[in-house]
Amino acid sequence: MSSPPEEVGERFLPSVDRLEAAVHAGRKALEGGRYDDALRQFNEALRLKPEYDVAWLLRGHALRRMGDFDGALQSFAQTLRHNEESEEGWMGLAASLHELRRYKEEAEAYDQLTKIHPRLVEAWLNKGAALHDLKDYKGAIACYDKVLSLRPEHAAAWNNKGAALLRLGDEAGAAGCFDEALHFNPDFFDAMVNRIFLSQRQGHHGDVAFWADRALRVRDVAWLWYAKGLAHLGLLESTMALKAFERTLELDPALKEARAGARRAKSLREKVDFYRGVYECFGTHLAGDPGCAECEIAARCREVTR
Amino acid sequence: MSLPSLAEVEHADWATLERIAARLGLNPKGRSGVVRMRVLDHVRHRVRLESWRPGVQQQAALLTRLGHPDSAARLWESTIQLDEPAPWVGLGRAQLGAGELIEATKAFDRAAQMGDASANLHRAESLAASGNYEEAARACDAYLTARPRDLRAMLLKAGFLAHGGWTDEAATVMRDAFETHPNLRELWRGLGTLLLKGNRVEAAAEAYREALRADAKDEASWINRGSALLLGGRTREAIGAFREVLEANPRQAIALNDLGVAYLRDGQAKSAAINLERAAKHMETPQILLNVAKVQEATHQRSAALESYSRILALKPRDADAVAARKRLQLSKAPRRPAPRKARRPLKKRRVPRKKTAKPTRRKSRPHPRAARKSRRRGPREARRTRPTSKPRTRPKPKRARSRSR
Repeated sequence: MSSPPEEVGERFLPSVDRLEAAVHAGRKALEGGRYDDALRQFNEALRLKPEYDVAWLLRGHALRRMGDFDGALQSFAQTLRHNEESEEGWMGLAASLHELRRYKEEAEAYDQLTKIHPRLVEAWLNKGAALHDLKDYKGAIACYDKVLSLRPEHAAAWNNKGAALLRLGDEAGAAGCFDEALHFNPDFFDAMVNRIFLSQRQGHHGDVAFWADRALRVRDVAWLWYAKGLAHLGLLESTMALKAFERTLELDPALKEARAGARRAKSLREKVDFYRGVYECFGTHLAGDPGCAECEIAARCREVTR
Repeated sequence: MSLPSLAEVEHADWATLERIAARLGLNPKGRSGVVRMRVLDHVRHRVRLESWRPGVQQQAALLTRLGHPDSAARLWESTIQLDEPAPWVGLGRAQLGAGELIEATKAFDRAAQMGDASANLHRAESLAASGNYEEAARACDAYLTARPRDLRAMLLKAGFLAHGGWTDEAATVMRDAFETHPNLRELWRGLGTLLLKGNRVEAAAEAYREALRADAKDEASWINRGSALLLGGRTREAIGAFREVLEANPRQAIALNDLGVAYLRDGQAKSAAINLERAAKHMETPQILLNVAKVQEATHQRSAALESYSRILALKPRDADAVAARKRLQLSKAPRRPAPRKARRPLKKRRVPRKKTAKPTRRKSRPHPRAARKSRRRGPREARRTRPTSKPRTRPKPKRARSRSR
């Protein structure tokens, strides 16, 4: 049962009620996407109690969502001034620094946070991502290894580690990491995309087409259709390539490369147009595989498999 | 049609995989990895994880733990069957939580009759909670009939006997327990404390000796052994025990105090005073100060004794001993009327008071555990939601505008 209003009025600090009401209203507004209202409420709360770290934190989030990253950064800094061990404060500060592309400072913020919470997986993962942006791939891998020592099933960490290894030229290691990521989360879009980049780099058109097909089931984006079109061209599947380029142009008509690709597909169709029918392996022939041994079109796959 | 498990698909050989694919109506043609992925996708999308829901018994057990014994008891009652003792035990636990001790005992009794030996221990606990230690010990006996070497039951029985005032019997049970489990030598200390409480000083001293055989550096055992020896009149040996402690830790206030008392018993008032004052310097408790004051009074240091009594009264204003002693000393200080002279008699030799002198301070054999303080977190948890994900940042830049020439 709620207490009668006259009791509330007799409280020693009546401003406490106003403060609580302002923060509560601000939170509601933030959740409802009314960022201006939220900001006004948090400002009111901070007028009543300027050293209230929670109000600074929420103000930072409101500003971040409004796109004012400088303002958000200031708010998170104020949060940490009043509560220097605030996990949310450090995460918000680092996120704002990331938006402002101040990666070095972002990594330092995560350093501070990991000193306070050494087992915070998100901090290690984001520190690795910041180091990746700074092109310190070995440092990034160390961070991902730390995450994986704490949570070996962390698909994002496997994916990020693979991305860093790919940058260092370790294709086999990267492939293993992407496989792990996709094992733990078979619908992980980023891991599929990285698998596509790896296969493109290795010239495995069949794998590119296969993974692009799977990734497109998760997210329908023009540049993936373009990559798929190029792979079909490599597999001598002119009609499939043409369809892929046409879909690319539907999604992004300004992409000139797709137009050129469509022209090439049309000209190729006059010479060759391979169709794999029930086989959706897209020429990913693997010597010794029982499925490939039984395959009726294995000879054609071998022609295009590198 | 039942779906295969993910593990089954992942580890299936090619023939099995083809069979599974065909059975599920999927295309079985292509590279094995691709077919396997196809089947896995199908299973993952079709399989629906069944959410776990606690059964009535689990709900009842949880409710008991969460402090809702009445609701728990109602649920347990609904699960009772003729041939299953577990619900009766659960019902008894819930009733015990609700304070219905007689009903709880009956429920445990029913479970015990159905053949659940552990119900006897629960019954013993509920009987002890109602203050019936004799029956509680008997319930332990009933359990021990089924499992004669069970240490928990033996120690519980010893505890109940000790609570009921049968210290000798408790000590016997504990001794039996140690003899059946010789690897638990450190429990001798508990037995020693039990015996000391029961004023069985000789046996207590022996128990502490056993405890010290297991851990020769255990201060509490040395001090308590010294106390037992002192109470048993073996002053010299007691002094030796206290000195053992002080060699390792010269600031051990309890050992200093007890050593002072032992010296006083031995008639060495000066050594007693030195040790007691040292003890008071390290730990100013009313008991130690009282010992100091009594020694000072015994050695005719009236003003020092008065000061010590005042210090006691500052710590414990209503201490009867200190109030009486101060009154006595103040009265003796007042000028007396000159008494008529009598013929001088030879002065009697003053004896050091035995009974009313200082008592050794016993040390608790087990320190009280300090509750760990939970740190309170401030701030909203929802702020975590805004944690940035690493997804869009970690993958290499998309090569969307790069054309590939073949």
